[in-house]
Amino acid sequence: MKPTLITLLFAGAAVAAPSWNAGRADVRVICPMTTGGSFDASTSALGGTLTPGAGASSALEGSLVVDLRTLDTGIGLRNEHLRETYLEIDKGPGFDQAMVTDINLKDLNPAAPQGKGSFTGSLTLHGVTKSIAGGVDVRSSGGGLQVRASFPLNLSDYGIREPRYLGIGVRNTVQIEATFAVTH
Amino acid sequence: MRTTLLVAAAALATLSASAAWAEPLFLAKQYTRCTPCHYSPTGGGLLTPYGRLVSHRELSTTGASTTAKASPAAGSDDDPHGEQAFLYGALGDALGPVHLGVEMRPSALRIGFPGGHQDMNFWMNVDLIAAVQKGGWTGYATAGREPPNSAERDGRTLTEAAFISYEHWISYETAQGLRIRGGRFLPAYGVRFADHTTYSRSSLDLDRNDQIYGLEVSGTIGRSLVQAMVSPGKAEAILHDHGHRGFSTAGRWQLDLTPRATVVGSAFYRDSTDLDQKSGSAGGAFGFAPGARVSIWTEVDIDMHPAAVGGTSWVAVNETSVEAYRGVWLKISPQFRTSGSGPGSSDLRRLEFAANLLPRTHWNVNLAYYRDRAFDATTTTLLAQLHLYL
Repeated sequence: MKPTLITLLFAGAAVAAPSWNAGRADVRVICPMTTGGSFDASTSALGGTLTPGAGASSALEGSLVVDLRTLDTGIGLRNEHLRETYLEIDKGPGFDQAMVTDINLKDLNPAAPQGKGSFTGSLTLHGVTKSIAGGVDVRSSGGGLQVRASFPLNLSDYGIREPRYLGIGVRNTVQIEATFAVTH
Repeated sequence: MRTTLLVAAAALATLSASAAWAEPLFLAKQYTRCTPCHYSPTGGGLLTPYGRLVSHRELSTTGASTTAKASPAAGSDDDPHGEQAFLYGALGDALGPVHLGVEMRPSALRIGFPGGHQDMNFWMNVDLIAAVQKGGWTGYATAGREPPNSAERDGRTLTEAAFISYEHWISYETAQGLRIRGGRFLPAYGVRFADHTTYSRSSLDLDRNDQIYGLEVSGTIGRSLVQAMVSPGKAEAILHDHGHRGFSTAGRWQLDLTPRATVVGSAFYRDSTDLDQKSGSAGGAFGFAPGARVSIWTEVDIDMHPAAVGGTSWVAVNETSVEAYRGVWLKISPQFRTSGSGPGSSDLRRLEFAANLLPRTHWNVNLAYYRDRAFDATTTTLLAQLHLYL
C-alpha cells in the first residue's frame, strides 16, 4: 500500500502480542469553511505497525501513515486544490503522506488498552514535524481493537498556505478524526 | 366543477412566478449552507464566483471535461472569465467588483383537471441581478418582470406584466461571521426548496412575492447558524397593498451535525393587519445525505391561524434527490397539508416527480409532474422549464 496521510495513534500496549497492525480505517479531516459549515476530506488509506514499548512504558514504537493522494472531498476541483496546491503532494519525498510517530498513551492501561484516554505524538506533514495531542477511545472488536482518535491541527503550523478560493476559504484549524482497527 | 376550477386556478397562481432558485439537494456535495454559492444568506438568486465555478466544474454534465488549468488558480479572489462567468466572460474585468447575472425561465405548463386541461407558455422570470462585495459589505439587487396575472395592486391582480425587484438589500459581515442585513429579502425559515410551490413554502407565505422589508441578524456559532428577522411587513404589502401590512418576526436555527447531516428549527410570527388576523408557524427539518449522490430532506411545520380563518394545520414535505448521472438529478417529493378547522378547507396531498438536468453551465432543465389531491378532486400538472442563469 502506498504511504499515507494524517494519522493516529496507537493500539494496545503491553498485551502479549509484540505489535499491532492498523487497517480498516476511516480518516476524516473536518474542514470548517469561512462562510460557515464544513466539509470532510476522507480516506481509508491508513496503515502502519505499532509495538508497545518495553516495561511499563506507555510509548508505542512504530508509525501510522496516511496516504494523502487518496484524500477525497467529494468535489473534483476541491480535491485538486487540496492535494496539489495546499498539501503539495508532489513537492518532494514524504509530501504525499502524513505520518504519526512517538505515540504516547495517557490514562490507558497499556496492558489492557480499553476505554477513553488521551495521547500525544509527532505528526510529520508537508515536510514539517510538530507535536500533536488529542483524545482516544479504544474498544475491543473481534480479535483486535477498534480505535477512535481525534486531534486539532493548525494548517499554518505545517507551512500549508491559507486555503482561499474565489472568496471561500477553510479556517486555519481543522479537526482530524480517525477510526481504525488494529490486529496482531 | 366550481371546486375543480378553484383547484386548477390555485395551481396556476402558485406556479406562475417565483424569485430565485436554490438547491438544498447539494447537501450531497457537503454544502450545508447557502452562502458558499449564493450571495443571499437565505439562499437563491445570484451565484457567487465560487458558486458559478462549482456550477460549471462540478455540477454540469459537460463541465467535468474542463481541466483544472482552465479554472481560476487556487488562491484567486475573483476571476470573471471562462464559461461560468457572466455572459461567458465576455465582459472580463470591465465591471470591476460588480457581479451581474440574468435569470430567465421560459416555462410550459399543462394543468389537467377532471373534464379538461389548461396549457400555458410563459416567462416565469426575467431578472437582472447585481451584487457587489467589498470589505465585508454586500449590496444586492434584482430588477425584472413579473408575468401577467401575477402582480397585485390593492387586492387586484394585474392582467399585464409589471416591474418587480424581488430583492434589494445591503449587508455587513464581521470577520467573526456575524452578519446584519437590511432591505427586501425572503426571510430565513426552514429549508428553501427550489420549487416555490412546495407546501412548506407556498402554505407558509414563503412563496413568490413573500419577501419582507426588514432587518436580519445572522451568525455562525460553532456548528450552528442562527438567523433572526424583524419586519414591518411583507414588501408588496408595504408598497402596493397597505391593508395587508403588519409586523412580522422570524427565527431560524440550523445545526450541522456533520457535513452531510443537518437539523433546522424555525418559527415565524405575523401580527394582525387591517385585513388579516395574526398567524404563526413553527417547524423542524432534517437533511441527510447518505452518499455523494443522494440527499433526503424532510420538513414538518405547524401553521397556526385563528379558528375562523383556518385554525391549525400541519404541513409535511419530503424531498429525496438522487444524482443518477453527473448533472442528472431525479427527485420524488410527497407532500401533505391537513385541512385545519376553517370553512371550505381540505386536506392537500401532493406527489411530485421531477428531473433536473444540468447539461452545461448556466442551463438547468426542470421537468416536473405534480399530482395534487384536494376537495376530492385530482389535478395533475406537467411543468417543463428552462432555467437560464447567465
